[in-house]
Amino acid sequence: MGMTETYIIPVFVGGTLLLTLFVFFIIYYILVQKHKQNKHQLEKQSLLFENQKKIFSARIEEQENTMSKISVELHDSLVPKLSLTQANLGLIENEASTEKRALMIEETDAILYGLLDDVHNISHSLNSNFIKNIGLVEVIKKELEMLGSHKQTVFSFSVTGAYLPMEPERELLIYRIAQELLYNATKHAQASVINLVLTYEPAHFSMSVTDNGIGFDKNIIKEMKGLGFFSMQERVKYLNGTFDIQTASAQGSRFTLSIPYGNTDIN
Amino acid sequence: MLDAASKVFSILICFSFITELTTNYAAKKYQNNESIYAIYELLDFGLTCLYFNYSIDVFRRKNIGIYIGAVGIFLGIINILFIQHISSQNSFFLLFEGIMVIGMSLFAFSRLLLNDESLHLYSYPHFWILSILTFSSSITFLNWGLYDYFVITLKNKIWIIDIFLLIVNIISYIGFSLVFLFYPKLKHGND
Repeated sequence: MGMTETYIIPVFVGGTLLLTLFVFFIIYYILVQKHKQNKHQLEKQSLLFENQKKIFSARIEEQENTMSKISVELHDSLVPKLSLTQANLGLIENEASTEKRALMIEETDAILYGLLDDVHNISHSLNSNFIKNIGLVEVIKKELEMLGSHKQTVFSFSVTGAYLPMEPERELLIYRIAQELLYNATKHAQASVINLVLTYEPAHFSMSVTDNGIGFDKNIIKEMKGLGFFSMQERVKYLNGTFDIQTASAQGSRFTLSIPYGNTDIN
Repeated sequence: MLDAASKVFSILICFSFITELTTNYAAKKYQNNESIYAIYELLDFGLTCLYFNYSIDVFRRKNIGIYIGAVGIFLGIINILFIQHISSQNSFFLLFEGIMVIGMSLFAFSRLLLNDESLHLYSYPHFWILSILTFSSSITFLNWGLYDYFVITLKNKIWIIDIFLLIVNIISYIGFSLVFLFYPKLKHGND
């Protein structure tokens, strides 16, 4: 009895105290764990908010870019032709010779045809349904023709592999990336030669745009606002693709977009 | 305003208080209050399960707490009828109740952690109720587990268990009082 009493009391008291400690430890652990979870949740939310903010500002930037592109197109392509037409009409009015008049009317008619073509091209490059309907290769061809017609830059275009139509929504995204890259190369990089290659591999598609422009420092890409890099990257992310940039100051640039074919793409 | 689980828990506390008064009276008048405790334990278990039923999301959806309570009460009645008589201490049922309450409390804790919602536990009344329940159930579980052994072999040392039980109960009921005292403030913290 004496021995049992000697052992059981300290074991009982110690056990109770240990159990108490253990319960407090569990409570403390849960509090700390939940606190961490809340903190993580908060960080996630603020990241999400930051990302949404970025997307929102990228959309605004893109809208502004589009407006600016339309303005440039109107200014560079339509305005000179309209001015020329107006001048021709004035000359026709004052021209006495019927022969010369007929020649000038013919010339004005050609200018007006060109003008109509330009308006069509501008309208098509902005119309998503048109782009989706004619396919990626054709639409890029048209875009390059339009750019080449009133810019000093030399554009070259080639397709490697057999054209594989992808989901129209994906083709539209690729086209918008191409537009952004071409716009950057002509406006910001001041390139005189731009080469665009579409490659259709069995497992994936890639598009590369190479220019001989002024290039840029790749390390400061995040600080370069107004070049639509964020919206391009968002589009690449949406396409499950990768975007590789090779550039250096005064050495031109090469942008390569690579995307796997989606399940809904036509094989 | 109290939510359903807190209402059940406040009823349980009021019920415990009335039971303590009654058992105190019975002890003086009849020198035995075990039968009152035996019935109280069944109702106490039932109300505790109902509390868990309302406070744990998974339980609430499928009324699991109510089923556990019903099965527990049934087992308690079997214990009273065939194993430990109503006039003796129902230590088996106390152990069973301890295991179930600790188990449900730990499950409730895990649900709190698994829940992705940003919940501030410091200001969540049910977290504190659960913590106090886990604390009191764990200690009383050990104490009641050894109670019969002390009664048989160390009767002169039974005061140690009584003191532990008294301390645990004082701490627990002070804890519960504080939770209900600060209930509006605590609830407001998570709104």
